[in-house]
Amino acid sequence: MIHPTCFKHLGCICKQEVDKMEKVVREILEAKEIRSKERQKFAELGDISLSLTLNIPGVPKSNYQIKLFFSECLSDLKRFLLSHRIIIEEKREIIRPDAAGDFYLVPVSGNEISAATIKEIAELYEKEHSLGRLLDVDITDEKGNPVSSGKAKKCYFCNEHPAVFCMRRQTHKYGEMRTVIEKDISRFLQERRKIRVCKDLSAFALKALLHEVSLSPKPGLVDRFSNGSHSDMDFSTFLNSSAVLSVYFKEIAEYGYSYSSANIKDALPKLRQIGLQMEEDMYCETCGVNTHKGAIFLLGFSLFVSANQIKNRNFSYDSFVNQIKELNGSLVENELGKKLYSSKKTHGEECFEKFGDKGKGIRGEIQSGLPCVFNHAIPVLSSHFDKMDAVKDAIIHEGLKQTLLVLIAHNYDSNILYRKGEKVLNELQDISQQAFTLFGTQYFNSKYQDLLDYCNENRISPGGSADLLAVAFFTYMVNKKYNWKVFNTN
Amino acid sequence: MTPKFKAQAGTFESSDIMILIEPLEKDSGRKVDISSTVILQFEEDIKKTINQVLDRLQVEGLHLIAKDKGALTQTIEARVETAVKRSLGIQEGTM
Repeated sequence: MIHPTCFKHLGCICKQEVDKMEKVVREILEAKEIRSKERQKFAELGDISLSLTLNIPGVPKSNYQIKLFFSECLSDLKRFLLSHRIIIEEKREIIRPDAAGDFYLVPVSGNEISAATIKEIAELYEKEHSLGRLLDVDITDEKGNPVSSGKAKKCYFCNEHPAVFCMRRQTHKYGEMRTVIEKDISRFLQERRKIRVCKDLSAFALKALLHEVSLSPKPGLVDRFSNGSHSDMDFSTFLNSSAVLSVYFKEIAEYGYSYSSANIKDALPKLRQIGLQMEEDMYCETCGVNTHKGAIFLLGFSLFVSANQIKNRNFSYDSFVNQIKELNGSLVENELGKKLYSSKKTHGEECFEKFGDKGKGIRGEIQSGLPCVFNHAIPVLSSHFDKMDAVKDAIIHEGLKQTLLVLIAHNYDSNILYRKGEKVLNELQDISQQAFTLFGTQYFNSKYQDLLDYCNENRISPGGSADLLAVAFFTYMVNKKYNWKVFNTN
Repeated sequence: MTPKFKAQAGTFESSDIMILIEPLEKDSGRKVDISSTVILQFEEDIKKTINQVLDRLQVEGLHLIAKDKGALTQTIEARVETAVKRSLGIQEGTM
């Protein structure tokens, strides 16, 4: 063995290095004895105990990644035991990483279940776990004896001989084994991260829809207490529609997370398929009423893009905007400029024909990178929610209300333009801007009431701004948890 | 030297070995009993390792029981040495 930093004895078999290895081995053996004593202590009290350890060849026995893996496996194990009605005494548990690696030991409550039965369940856990052969769940009975099933586990690497023979013979090289193990653990942790991220993102998307519709009172929009300017839908319609859409959020997030083609536009056909399916389900649920078409479009892209960026650990508002733009390209030219549906024009298409640039609607907003969301809505959300830890209805309510106002004030909503004309849209934007400016003052409530009245009198529903509110809130929640600059480790 | 106390070293974990030492009457030599999960392949190996350590430490008059779960030679050497030292009263951890 040549010590790489030993200049004095260049090329010698360095005694220091040998001594160091012996010390490491001694420490591992000592650690194992201390573990054994802890098992005996539980046995002396008449308790069966259960431990979790990892089979990691070579040294060090643990590192950052192995620790993460261990703690994932430990959570799985606890859930597994509880599901099989094995009750552990968590108050007396020992979690103690030592020279021999990560170590968990806990007494099992009561002695109604025999140590042999517990061993069988522990083995089932190892068997069902994708990396079960790296895990050792050992049972020590109430007399302090290890409980053995007598079954020999196959070697993790060759899958041919019993593991104990390969270990004893040192058949496989430590370096090679560690490379394989570390790769497998890394893959396992990546898969876990994917599940966690996609779960988070789909929950954020549903939260965004539910909090948007629950914000009350809202100008012209459906809320908890009023149908606003609508006669064909109410609060329940929105809840039901949100429920059917939520089924697809995870699918889109998973697609985004797994998407790896260099050209992001290749994702569009599949995204459109999911989107069209969502629209069908929405119409089916609402008996033909459009509650969420805009939200499907916006949240769909946002889910895909944020999942993809979190996967690559580069989510930020800037990169999000860039990717949304890249994904959509020239939406206005490509979609509003030509007829997509032969039977009839959509309102958006007609509006573009009539008003030109001002009538680009949501496609224009997306093509220019959602300026309403990022320049106007996000800063307002930040000012309300950045320091919020616990979710309180009143705080959410205030924050979303002010954000909706800034959105209505800046959004050139093609739906209002199409139905009511430019003058009404401009008046609506003016009143909203005034209310926004007065937010937090004593004059606010009466100005907000003016806005509600104006929408009621003119039968206006700023649904486009409501969609933007949902997507802004969604993006805000994603950024708060997953912005890579702030939360590098997530 | 002859052991004075009953002593043990090691654990029942896999890749480890449990060594138990009991003092015997003077001049009764060594008695070594081995059980192992790899007995068929490694019985001679384990016996040789244990005897080498006992020779090196010059101990006689003992009954050594080894319960092996695939420990490496290096581990067996360390565990036997510790058990002997404990039985001689020169290392902590006597039973």
